[in-house]
Amino acid sequence: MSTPLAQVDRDREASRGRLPPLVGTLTIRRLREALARDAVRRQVYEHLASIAEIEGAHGPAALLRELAESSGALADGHIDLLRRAGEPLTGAPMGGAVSSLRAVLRDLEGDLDEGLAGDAETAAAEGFPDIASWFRSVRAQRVDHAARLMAAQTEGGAA
Amino acid sequence: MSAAPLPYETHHIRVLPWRDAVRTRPAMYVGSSGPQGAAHLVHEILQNSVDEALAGAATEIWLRLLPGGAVEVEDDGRGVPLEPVPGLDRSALDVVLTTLHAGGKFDQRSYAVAGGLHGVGLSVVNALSSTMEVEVRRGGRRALARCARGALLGPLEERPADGGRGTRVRFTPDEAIFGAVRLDRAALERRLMEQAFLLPGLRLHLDDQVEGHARSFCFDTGVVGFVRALAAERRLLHPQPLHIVGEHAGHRVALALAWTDAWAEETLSYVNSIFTRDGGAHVDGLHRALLSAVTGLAVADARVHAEAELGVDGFDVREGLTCVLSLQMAAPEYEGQTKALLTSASAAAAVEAVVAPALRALLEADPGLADVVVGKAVEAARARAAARRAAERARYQSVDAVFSKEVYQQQFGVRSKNWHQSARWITDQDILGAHAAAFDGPSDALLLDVCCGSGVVGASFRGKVGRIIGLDLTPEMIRMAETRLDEVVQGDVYDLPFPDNSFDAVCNREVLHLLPRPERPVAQVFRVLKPGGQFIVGQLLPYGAADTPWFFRVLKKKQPLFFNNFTEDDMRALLSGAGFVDLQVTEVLAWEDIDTWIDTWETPALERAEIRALYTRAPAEVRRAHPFEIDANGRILDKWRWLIFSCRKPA
Repeated sequence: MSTPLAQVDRDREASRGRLPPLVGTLTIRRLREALARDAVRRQVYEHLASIAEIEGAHGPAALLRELAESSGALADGHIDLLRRAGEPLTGAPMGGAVSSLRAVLRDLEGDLDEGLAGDAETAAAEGFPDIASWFRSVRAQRVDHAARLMAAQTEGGAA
Repeated sequence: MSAAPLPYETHHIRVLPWRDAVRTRPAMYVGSSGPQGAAHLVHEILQNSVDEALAGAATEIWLRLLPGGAVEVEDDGRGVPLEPVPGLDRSALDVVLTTLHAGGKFDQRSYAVAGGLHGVGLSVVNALSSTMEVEVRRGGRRALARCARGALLGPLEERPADGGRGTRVRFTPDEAIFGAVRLDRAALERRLMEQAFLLPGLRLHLDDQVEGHARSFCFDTGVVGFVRALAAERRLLHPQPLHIVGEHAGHRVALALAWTDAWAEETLSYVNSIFTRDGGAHVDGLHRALLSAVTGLAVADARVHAEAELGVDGFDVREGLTCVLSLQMAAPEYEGQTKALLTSASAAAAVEAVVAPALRALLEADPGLADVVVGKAVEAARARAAARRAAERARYQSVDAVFSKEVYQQQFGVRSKNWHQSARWITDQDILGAHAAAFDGPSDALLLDVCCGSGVVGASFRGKVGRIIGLDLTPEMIRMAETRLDEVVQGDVYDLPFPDNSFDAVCNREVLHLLPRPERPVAQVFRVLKPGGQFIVGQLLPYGAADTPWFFRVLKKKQPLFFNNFTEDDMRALLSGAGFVDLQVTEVLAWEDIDTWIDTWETPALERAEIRALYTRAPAEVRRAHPFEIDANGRILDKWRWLIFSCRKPA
């Protein structure tokens, strides 16, 4: 049986000694913002690279893909540091795989409760029926993801 | 920490014999361990024969499909050398059969150009075949080698010479690797036909001895004939395909191209007669040459000045283009062993250098041709802008649910020109039959086909109802529907021009997703139905939650007027929300040819390419939920899920 990641983190935390707690600081806010920016960059660069490939511009496409990969690695680095303050999506304490499933589920449920349904209504009210339909489609998939996460937790294993 | 790491010492290092290496990781060599991999074995052996033809040494090739899953490829080329290889004390045939990276194609002494590159083809096929025999006729000798799973079963057998020449390879793809594979004969036939076009004068024969089917191919028309065959079902916008041949820095280019009345571009590219499915450097060079030649010429064209704000781009220039590019070059470099994408930068420069000036000269010498080509590009740029505007106008107007009739009339007016050929679903008998089968009413019933298009849905009820009235917005569609229905009225679905309680039944197919605020047209249908009347509505839907957002993207890129990505639950809610009861649902699964479906005016070229990318890069959960296939030539078939809803206005 391998050592739970949470234990590794706690061990590292102890060895870090005099560092202040990260929770509630401006630094953690900046880290979260940096994660959001780099995660978005990764995705947008990938998208632009796909279009460049379709256009036959393989040089620019390769550069965009490399930058996307690099942004992804930076986002991963932000997550590494954010882990000190708990699981990055919800701030819940880091634990094993089952605990991670629980955290991801909690984040998804928040999105389902507060986000996507209202987003569809906003888009419809502002005259964008297609974007409203997109939000509803996304929500349908998220509901399915949440069901899979719940099932995986019940089984006590991975999704 | 967890348990101590496993030991890792010198004696743990294992050197796999080459055969085991190939059999352990077949996908590294032939792309997959499934049917595509087995087909790749055939292509590898066939390519050796084609390389003999490329070298001017073979005139005829036979491909035989034999009982028991065996395949045989024979040519009348020079034959694999039988003499011992210096320093190895083994015949050349023995060496190429049982040694990776052994062959005559590493330099240009035996083959100036060749499809095979790395000396792995024959030995890899040998390793992945349960049995293989190779018979060589060469220099007055006739010798046979027998192998099993890559191992030679004995010394070469000498047979009585018969004066012939060439190589015959018979092999059986190993079931232990590929499973029980049935090779796609149509795909192999296509491959032989392509080679016959690319190498004029070469005779190729397919003999399927399992199903008793034989065909031979030999053309002297080259790439021009190839383009004619590809464009057989399209109308060429100029009398003859253009033909360009030339050489630049050791690269030999043969190109045929024709602009057609289609919207999609179809460019097939080959390097040393190998199909480069994903294009690459040579296609990039072609695209640059096309753009520079056409826009260079168009600078003096008043229409281009008038449309300058549109910005004619490469996609516009290539709209409706059917094109075959064949490049012959030494030592091409590819991304991966399956050679789907050429990466040799020199190829781009060579193709551009040959094609750009030649195309420009052809266009300058023929003002009529130049007019067609420039006109088509300008038309494409206009259409691209119009498609964008269509979506924007419909979107803004939908705030008040006042949809723009002109936008729909324009789009479906253009599409009416080839409506029945523009997708399979429109005339699919299973889908139409399911609509008619759902009807349960009197034989003298009055049926309204709402947004009837060409009238095929309403006409499918013929014999079951008494009279069929159609309604549509577009004059061109109305004229088509008038040939099938009893009466056709022009009108819009948001305000049906009929009194309350007029019809016994109303049918409608694949329209509600295009209408902002779909509850309003559904309420109109409810209003015009008699109490107890039946509403039958067919809709293309995703399979479930997993493919719902993905399907939204596919449909939205195809159709800017796509507004509602209904799920089954959405449709049920829409119908019951309008007051309908007695809801029943029939499912019909029907294969749709995606390449044909996206070849339409309203789908700009970039979106067409993005739709293809959505299929090729579909996430695993989408692939599990939504069945579709991509064949060896990249054509996409999607098994669409149609639901036909039947419900009634309460009596």
